[in-house]
Amino acid sequence: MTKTRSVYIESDIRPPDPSKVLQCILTSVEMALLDCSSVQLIFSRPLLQGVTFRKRPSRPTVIRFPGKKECWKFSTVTTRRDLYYKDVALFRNQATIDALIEQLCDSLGVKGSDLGVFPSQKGLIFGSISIIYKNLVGKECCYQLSSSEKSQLTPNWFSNDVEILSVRIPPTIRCVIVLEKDAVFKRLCESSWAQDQYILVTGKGYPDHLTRQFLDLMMKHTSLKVYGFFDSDIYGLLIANTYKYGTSQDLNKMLLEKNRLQWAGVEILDYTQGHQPVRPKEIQLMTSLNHRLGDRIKLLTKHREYVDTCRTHSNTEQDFDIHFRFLYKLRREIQISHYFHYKCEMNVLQDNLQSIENYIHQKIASL
Amino acid sequence: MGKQFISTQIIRGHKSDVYDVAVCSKFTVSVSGDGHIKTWSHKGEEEPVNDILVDSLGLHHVDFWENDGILIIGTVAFSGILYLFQYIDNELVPLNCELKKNNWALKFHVGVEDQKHRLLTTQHNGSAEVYELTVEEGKFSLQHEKTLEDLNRTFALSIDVSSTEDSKIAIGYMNGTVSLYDFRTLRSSYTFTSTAIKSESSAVRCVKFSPGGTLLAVASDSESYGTISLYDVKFGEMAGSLIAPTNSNHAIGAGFAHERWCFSLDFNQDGSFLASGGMDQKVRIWDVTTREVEATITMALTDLPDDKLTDDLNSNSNIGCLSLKYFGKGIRQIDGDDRNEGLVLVGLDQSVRWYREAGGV
Repeated sequence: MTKTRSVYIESDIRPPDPSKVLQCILTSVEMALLDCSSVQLIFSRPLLQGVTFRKRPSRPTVIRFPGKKECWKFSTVTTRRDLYYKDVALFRNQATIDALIEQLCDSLGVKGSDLGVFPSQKGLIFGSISIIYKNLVGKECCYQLSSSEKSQLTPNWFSNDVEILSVRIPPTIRCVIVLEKDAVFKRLCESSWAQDQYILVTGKGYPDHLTRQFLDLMMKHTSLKVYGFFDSDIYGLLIANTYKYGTSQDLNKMLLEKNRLQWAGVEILDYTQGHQPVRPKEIQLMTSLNHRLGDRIKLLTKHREYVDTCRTHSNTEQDFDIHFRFLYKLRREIQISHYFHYKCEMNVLQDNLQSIENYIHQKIASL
Repeated sequence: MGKQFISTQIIRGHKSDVYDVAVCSKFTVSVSGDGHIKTWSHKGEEEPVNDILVDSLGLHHVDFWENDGILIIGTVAFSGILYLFQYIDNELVPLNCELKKNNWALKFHVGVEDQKHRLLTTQHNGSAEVYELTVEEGKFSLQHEKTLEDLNRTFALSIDVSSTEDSKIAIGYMNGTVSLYDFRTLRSSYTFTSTAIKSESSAVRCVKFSPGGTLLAVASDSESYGTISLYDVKFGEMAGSLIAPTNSNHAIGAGFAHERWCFSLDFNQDGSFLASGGMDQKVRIWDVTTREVEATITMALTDLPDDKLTDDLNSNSNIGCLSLKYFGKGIRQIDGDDRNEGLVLVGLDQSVRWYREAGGV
């Protein structure tokens, strides 16, 4: 059996010394991580809420991170969703637990996979791919997906320390297409159009970590181009931005990203009908995204100058071009949507003269 | 089709879409999504006289105030900030003024007779701000006078002021209505509602008074078409609409001026002609009396010296017209021919195009 380290956060110590409690937690978690065993955090609710309590709760909350070893040996994978359901009243919503885990990982400098906690799968993939990898206990595995099957959830077995041996794709595959919308994705899977030509990926709205990680893997291990199709409204553009740069507010992180995703549409100017007026709240969001893109452009411009003078090769000219083009295109679409005061949804294309399939074909050909 | 327009100059002036243009006595000024304001000499030099990166979010409206040798230029950015510059010794010098945020369209008014000089801006929430503009001993200042609250509460897209003794202010809204205010009292006088197909997409893109102030031209969306209506300002009645001729192999919807939205209108100096620019890549010159098309200019990508757009931002090659302005005789001195009025057009192809009317003695 694997060892389990338990961290008891005693609420009897009154008043609890926060720094001591934290130190105690961190030491235990660190030790556990060192030998890849599981960690349990046991605490009473009032402590977490930061208020003193009169009655001891009948059942202390236990959060158990299975740890890497256990996770692979016994395939006990805990998802963030599972953790949330451990104490719904405490966490109130999924975002709380997601944020907690991210904070925990950030402050410990580890990945969610080290704790044995995986996000629940949300994204879908369609296409022919086989990925051969070595799992953590050194066994060679193969993940296979064929376009004759239905779409599949994004795999959750990989993390940065899973060694990818090779990614094989049929030579007929032209590119990877990222779709904002589930509905569009499903439609394209149903028609024979995508078969053997494209790998389709959707994160059903904002992409989760796994979907982004899967795209990363495709970009690292294949030379396929990656095109994204999103609604031309502020949410679509924010989602495109998330695919490209994640949720991190850290601008500098962007410089290391080798994300090849290209924004391909949809553009308001492609539509002859089906426009919707923009709502006032959306204008605010547009302005704030426009600001952020502006900051990125400034930083990138500075960095390019720096690279030009130092001749370091961390980023190639091509990397810069892809970043700049993405940022400029997004900015232009925001400006046009703001100026025209219209937005467009991708689904509406179906009612237009051209089909989504044709639209995507043409768009990709023009890029 | 009585008139002809000849292209005199095309400059790929900006790195992104050019949203607005204005012609003052000294130069043509253009503002773009690339955040730059640029001025272009009337002598036709290829390089801008002034070039300033104003706001990295991009600029979309520009207007100027020129009186007694003083030139003030205002431009609004996508951030909602209004920037003001004074033109001194061939430089655009930024002015610091206390102004409201969330601006959209702007209009400078040079007071006629004893009228006040004013700057008017529309706001995201549909209201409009009125500032009194004063220049004393070369010192420029703005004083906030009044907020014109609007019950429509929709985005106010366009604004204009007529240059007559008894001026009116017209404001066009996203929901298709146009409100008229009296310039002196700042009281509401009329509200026109668009006669175009009733829908959420009947945004009023441009309002423009004729030089005499008797007519108000209104460009609004009707689904994906562009309509132009003329209103009688005195009585607040619709005086007619401008309809492009249809022919069998060109199925333009009945009753529309442009096949796509029309964003910009401008009268010539004597008010006998109205120019309209559409997203259908067409600029039409209308005879205001007969309401017929006198000339059509087609904007084509092939007009440009180098037909590849910067960074290929514009992948759909749509080059519709976003703004146009008439300029009077003798303003631009190119080809030694300045006997006729001219037009300047800007749009989605990053360039500024100048035309002059052909013929005349």
